[in-house]
Amino acid sequence: MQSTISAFVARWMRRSATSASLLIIVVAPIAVPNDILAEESHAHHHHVHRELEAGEHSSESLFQVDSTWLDQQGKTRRLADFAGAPTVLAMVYASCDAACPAMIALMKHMESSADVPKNTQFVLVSFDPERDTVDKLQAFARSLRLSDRWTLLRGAPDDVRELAVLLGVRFKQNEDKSFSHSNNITVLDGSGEIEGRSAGLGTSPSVLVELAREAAS
Amino acid sequence: MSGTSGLLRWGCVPLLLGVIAAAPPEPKGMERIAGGTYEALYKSDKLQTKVSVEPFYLDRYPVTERDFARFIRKHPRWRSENISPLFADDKYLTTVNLSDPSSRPVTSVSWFAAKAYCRSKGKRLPTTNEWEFVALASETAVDGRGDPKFMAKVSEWYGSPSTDSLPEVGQGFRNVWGVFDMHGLVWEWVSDFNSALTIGESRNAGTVDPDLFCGAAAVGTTESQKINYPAFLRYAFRSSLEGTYAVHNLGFRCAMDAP
Repeated sequence: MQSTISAFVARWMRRSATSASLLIIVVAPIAVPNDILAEESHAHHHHVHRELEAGEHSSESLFQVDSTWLDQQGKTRRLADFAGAPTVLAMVYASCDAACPAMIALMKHMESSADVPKNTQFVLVSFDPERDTVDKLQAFARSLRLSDRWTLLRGAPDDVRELAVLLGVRFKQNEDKSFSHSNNITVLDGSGEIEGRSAGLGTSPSVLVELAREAAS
Repeated sequence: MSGTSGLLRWGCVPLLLGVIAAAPPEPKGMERIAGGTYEALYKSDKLQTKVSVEPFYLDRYPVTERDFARFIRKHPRWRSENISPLFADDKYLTTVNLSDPSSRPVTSVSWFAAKAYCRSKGKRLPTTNEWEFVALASETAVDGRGDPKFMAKVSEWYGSPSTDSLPEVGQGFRNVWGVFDMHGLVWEWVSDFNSALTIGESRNAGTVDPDLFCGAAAVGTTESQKINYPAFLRYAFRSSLEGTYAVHNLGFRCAMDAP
């Protein structure tokens, strides 16, 4: 497992060297490895980067996904709204009392870290649009004392499922309406490309800060 | 004026209403699956093990190479040279001969591409629960788990490696619903494949609820599931997938809500 982490980190470091964007590996304490049968042979695309038209997104950008969401103010949002600054994305739900608080705490730690750019945005997407109404999300944000750098989103179940797949998040709703889910945190750069993703294993915050410092330099 | 012609006119109305009130026919190429309840593969933390499925329509056959070739002609952004790496990996369509597409099931398609195909037909992917419900059926019964010969046959299919050249759809196993190839041909995408969660390795799974999933061992499974190894295999396979994966023996078929 250790060598896998090193290789993973090495790959992220190499990618971060080609862009000035933020690289943060955020890992949550609860492990959900999900690659017991997956092969390593699924290589990444190597695209020739041509000049993009104004407003056009690169083929690797999450911003080309056009789904619409409602934020905690009831405003309609698209993922592309977050262009121009790094974004830290996690999927949670308001009634979650186990892993979600841990993920949010990690993201708050990043927010207060001096090594994280001050324009970094924090986005929480709900697994639970049925119960997490706009009002519920607003109350949730208030109870967590989230700053105005945080956006909470609710959307159509199909869009939630699609975003989860894009972020490598696994989830299912249980009979009691709670959710079982993995705890990935994804970091996007300003153009919406996935800079890095947590591996779902526990990591101390100091490692996070160290990586962020190296990536921002 | 009135009399016979009037009687004829008014006599037609009840007949017309009767036709309208009858159940609509299945969409072309699909079978209607009645709703049902069955035991889930795994135990939930609330110890409820029943899964309910509403009536729905399911494609009679997996989507073929020919079907998919027609789709990408009309929707070129799904061609392998145009597709975004967010939506498919490097193996996308590499096992499909698009210049001479056959009636073999299309494979090497990502979840995103499969979803887009179904949407283009006004359909959707089936959910895991829907697909697994139909997979329970033998040639003669909605739930074939009580039929040891059928269960043995299914296990045999999953035990043998897939052939280099896949047969065409509709040549093999036909279940009681009239749906072909639920076993013995290809793995199939479902809309919520990423709802298949695995538990962590015992080294670092300290905080995972052990009641949540009990796939590897028979311990904790419901009694009737102990012999349904293929269902466990499918669960494990799904839990290894990412949405971009294009796999040589993974295809799909579409579903639709039924009134």
